[in-house]
Amino acid sequence: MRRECKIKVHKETDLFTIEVVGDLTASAEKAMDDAYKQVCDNNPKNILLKFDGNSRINSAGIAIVINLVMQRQGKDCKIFITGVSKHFRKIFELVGLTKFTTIVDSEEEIERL
Amino acid sequence: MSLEEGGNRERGANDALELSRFQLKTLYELNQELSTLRNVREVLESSLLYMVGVLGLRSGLVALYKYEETYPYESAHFNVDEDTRLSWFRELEPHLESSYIREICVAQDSGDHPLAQLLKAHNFRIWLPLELDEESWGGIALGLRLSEADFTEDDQELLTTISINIQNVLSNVSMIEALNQAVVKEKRIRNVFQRYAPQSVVNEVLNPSNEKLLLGESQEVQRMFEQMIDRLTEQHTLEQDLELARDVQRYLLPNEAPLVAGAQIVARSIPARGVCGDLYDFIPLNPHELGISLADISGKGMPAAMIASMLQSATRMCVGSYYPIPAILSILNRFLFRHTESGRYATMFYGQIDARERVFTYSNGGHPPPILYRNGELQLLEVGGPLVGIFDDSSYDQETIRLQSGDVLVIYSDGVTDAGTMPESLNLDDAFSQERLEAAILANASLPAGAILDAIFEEVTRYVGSNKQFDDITLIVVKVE
Repeated sequence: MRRECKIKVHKETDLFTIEVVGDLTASAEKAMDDAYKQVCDNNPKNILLKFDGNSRINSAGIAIVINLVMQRQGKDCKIFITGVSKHFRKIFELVGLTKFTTIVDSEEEIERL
Repeated sequence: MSLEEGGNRERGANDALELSRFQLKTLYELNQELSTLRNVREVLESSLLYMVGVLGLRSGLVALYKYEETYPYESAHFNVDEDTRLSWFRELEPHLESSYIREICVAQDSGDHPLAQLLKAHNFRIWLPLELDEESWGGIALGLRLSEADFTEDDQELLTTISINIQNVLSNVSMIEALNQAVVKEKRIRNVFQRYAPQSVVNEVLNPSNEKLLLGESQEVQRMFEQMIDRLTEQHTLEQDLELARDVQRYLLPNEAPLVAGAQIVARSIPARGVCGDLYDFIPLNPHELGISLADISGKGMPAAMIASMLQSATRMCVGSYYPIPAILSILNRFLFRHTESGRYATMFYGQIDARERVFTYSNGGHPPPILYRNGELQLLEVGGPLVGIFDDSSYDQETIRLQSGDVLVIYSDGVTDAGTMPESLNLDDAFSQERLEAAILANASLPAGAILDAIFEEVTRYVGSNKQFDDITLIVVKVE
């Protein structure tokens, strides 16, 4: 069953986090665009896309993530992703998203990187 | 085979399986989603999003065209900036008539193919045509993959399947949109009808048992509209005629001048007695090119408004068919001559501005010559031919003028220069006159187009004073930036 997508943005030190709770599909496009704008207006150096561990992400959802990646291209900004299942890690890898993002197990891992 | 090689091969097979499942799921979900959408734009946007996601693309663009038109009537894009979009539409134009535009083109496999070159120049990598219906078609241009990998045959097959689904959905959605538009149009006609028609006619024509009208079938609506006009012509009072004609006219006149990069364009029309025999129109050809027409129909009231409506439709059809400008006037001349009662004619000016190339090409069918201001000098645009609709077979010439920054073109109806005189008067001594119009243009040419228009109207209004306005006054001002 589809879960409604809720998005929150927060900032800690130099890391902007976009927290996605629920499924990332086409219906979340507007909310995600708003979140990107809010974050990108601050010229971030690090962005974390934090899924809730059970998020289902379909092709439209992946396009929404690609949109963020393309917006930050050439702007000296690292994008991290966490909270995705093993299956979606593999999909992200297969569609080429891991070339532009780093998938981490936890926020703490970002500190270490 | 080593253990390592065996492991890699197994991982590869698992990846392929995982990818196939993901793609199948995408096809299923896209179909589910498309079935819930009710307008063309949403279908394009949603389909593009799915295609971008399933193959990991950096950009994509989908556009729909009417046959014989060179600029899309609907489009959606993903991560394609405006300059690239405009460049793509412009540079695709010469290829629209080619046969290869109706075939899939993969840039990586197509070498020096002209479409492949065009795709690469715009950071696209694959082209997929969409065959929609008898009136329209479309195409999808997709960009480089995030992985920079080539499109495999499986990828192409997947995209072809998606594009077939899009074609099917678009056909249905277009039909729904057309029906909705017909219903909206029907409602407008009903409103006009119910306001002005005698109650007995309303009761008869809007009988609830008339299912065809309720279904909003456009031909039937048209027939009803014609029937309504016939009935009204028989039973109307003069005031009702004028009120109805005014509504028809309001429906025909453009709400506002379209934006054309590189030129300011404004227009205003003030009817003499409720309804205008003047009719102006703007016909967008592409983002930098615009057709501009101004016609003054002989006579007044409902008959003139109906002829204006016919002339406007015929003009738009001719322009849409890319006839040369003199041919457009010749066709309209014959059309008017053969389809209206004797003595009905129009003066008509039609021109096309290309603000990017800075040229204006026009033909003048017996209309008061528009005035071109340049660096303190005035030029009259007189090239053309006779009044439109007065002879069966008239021919027209055209002139092309190179425009310069600061040029002001004023297209007007004779209501401007004849303002202040009685209708049909042969004595024009008291008229506002072309001299005063020229003086107003010279005095205000440095202002923006809107301010020039206001200034001329102010001059005319001041000149006429409290005298009644007997003729329609229409002005179009174009200022080259």
